Amino acid sequence: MRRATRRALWTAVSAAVLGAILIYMVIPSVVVIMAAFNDKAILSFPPANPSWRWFTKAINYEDFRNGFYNGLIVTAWASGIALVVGTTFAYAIDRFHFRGKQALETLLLSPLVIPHFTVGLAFLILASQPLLMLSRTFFLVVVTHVILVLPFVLRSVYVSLRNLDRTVERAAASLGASPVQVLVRIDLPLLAPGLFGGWLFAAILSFNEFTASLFVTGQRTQTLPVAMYTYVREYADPSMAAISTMFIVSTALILIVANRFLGLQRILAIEGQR
Amino acid sequence: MNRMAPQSETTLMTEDTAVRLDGVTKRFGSVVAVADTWLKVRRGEFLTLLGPSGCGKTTLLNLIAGFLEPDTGELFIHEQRVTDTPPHRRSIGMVFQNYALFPHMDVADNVAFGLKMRKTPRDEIRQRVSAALDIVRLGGLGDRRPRQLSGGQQQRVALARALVINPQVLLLDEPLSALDKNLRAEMQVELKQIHQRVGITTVFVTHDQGEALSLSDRIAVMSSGIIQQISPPNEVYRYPANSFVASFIGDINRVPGRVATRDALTVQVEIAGGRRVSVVADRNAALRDGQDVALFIRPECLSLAGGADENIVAIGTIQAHVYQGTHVDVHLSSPDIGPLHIRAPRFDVIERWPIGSVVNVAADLSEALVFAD
Repeated sequence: MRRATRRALWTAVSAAVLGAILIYMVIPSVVVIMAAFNDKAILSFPPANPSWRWFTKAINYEDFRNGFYNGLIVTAWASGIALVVGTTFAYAIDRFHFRGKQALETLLLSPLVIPHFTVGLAFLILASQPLLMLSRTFFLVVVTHVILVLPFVLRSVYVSLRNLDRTVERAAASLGASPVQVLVRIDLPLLAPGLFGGWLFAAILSFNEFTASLFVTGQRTQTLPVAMYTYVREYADPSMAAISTMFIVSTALILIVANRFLGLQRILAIEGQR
Repeated sequence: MNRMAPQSETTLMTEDTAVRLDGVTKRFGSVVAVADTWLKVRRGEFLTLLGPSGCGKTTLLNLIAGFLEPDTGELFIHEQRVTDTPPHRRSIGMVFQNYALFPHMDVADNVAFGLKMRKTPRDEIRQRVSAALDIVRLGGLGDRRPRQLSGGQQQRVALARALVINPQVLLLDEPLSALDKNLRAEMQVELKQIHQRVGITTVFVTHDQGEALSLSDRIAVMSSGIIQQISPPNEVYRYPANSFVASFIGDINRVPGRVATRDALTVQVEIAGGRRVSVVADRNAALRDGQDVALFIRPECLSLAGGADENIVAIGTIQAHVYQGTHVDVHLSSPDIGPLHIRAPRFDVIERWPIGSVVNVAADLSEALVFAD
């Protein structure tokens, strides 16, 4: 009897602790989402009268629209380039032995430890060199973002490559598949979840990126997070919360769909080879 | 020394040869994985490459498959030189230890893969895939995914996938080693039947001598990159070419000794403990008088002798009886020779000679072998 009581108590405490952690993790989203529906022009919590007006305002605000489109452009290019470059490097590191392999790997993963503002500042300095003619172009923003998101693509593809059973490639070759056919019919389908996962993370990170973007974007190229920052310096109304809400909802939808079709553990490339 | 080309092979008509290795060598760094190997695999033959791990058998198979290129020597499949032909242009079918099925394709697509690569018409693909699945008794499972199948079923899919393309050679890389014991025995029988039905030249790699003895037309016993002997199973078992083969195939007792005298017919060997035994000479031609040798005797050629027996070779103390169902393995310790292993066909040995009893060991030396030590 005493043991049962103790176990019940233990279960209750565990549940309470877990619940508290979960609440802690979702509370930013909940607060922002609730604030987004606030009728008043102040960032108050909880909202008095629910309303969509800040969504309307945010969507119609010129700087946000431009920021959104700019963000899409930058994200599409940056994640695309990172996917190609990251996959190439991951393949080289996995398949070939060469001098300086370790150094290359460290170098490619280094953006994980270098602060974003360092990268941003570096490209700002480079861009200000008149000879390079980089100043405040999309090219500059894309290049900066590629560096920042590359490690995520690299990791994701590399893990998938490590999990790929090489004898499957040999089996295909023994059945008459040329190296190109092995790549197209065997490797790519088997690596697809890893490639997609890496690309998806790169895209989400790039679209969200603020610190480095602040350094390298100009009026014409500013991305949504930068536009939001500019806005919040002058105004403090719930349209920011409205954008955040849209952001959270769309990202969640993408992840849910991806999970449905590929399985999150495969996207995160944490699934081992059975 | 490793030029395994006895008379019967050199007279082979070339069109009977499915695979030919002419002086093939493969090194990995300073390690010689396959050393100057000359080998002919006959058409329709089931040849097994048998040896301990690291003996070079898998390297040899990968050389035939084309996954590795030889450092020296030439390789022919159906008398076409393929030394530097990549695997996808060789006509081979291969079954891997871990099956290596394509996880993103169903069973039928796995089997159809090789035919698609050969641009076979669709209707023909469908027919041949279903015929191949029938051969391995998997008809009706074409729409399953590999992960939905048991190990034995996956093995059959891999076999069907390799057979459906009608390769000139079927290469099997330890295909049964991942299966549990009962399934392995079942698949052995099935593999043998399929080979007989299809009649395809098969090169089979294994470290399991039981598999090799039961499946093969010929066994090539390998160690340290060298084919030590290539013979039919009963010859490998009864007439091993050297002490490595004798020790590797089956259980055997090794008795140290020295050549006392020899004549045209027999070799007299003085074995440890001072007894003299006489062994048939024809297989032991190269021995000199006074040479240190080892006598190899199978456990089934030894018996426990009660009283006086002229074939007595040793005295020993019984250490253990191991009841094996069809026979009893008796383990003795002899002060002169060391451990001895006797296979007794009758179970009464357990009562007649309990553990600890001192007994005479008699030997039937008609099949004993002597090799230089």
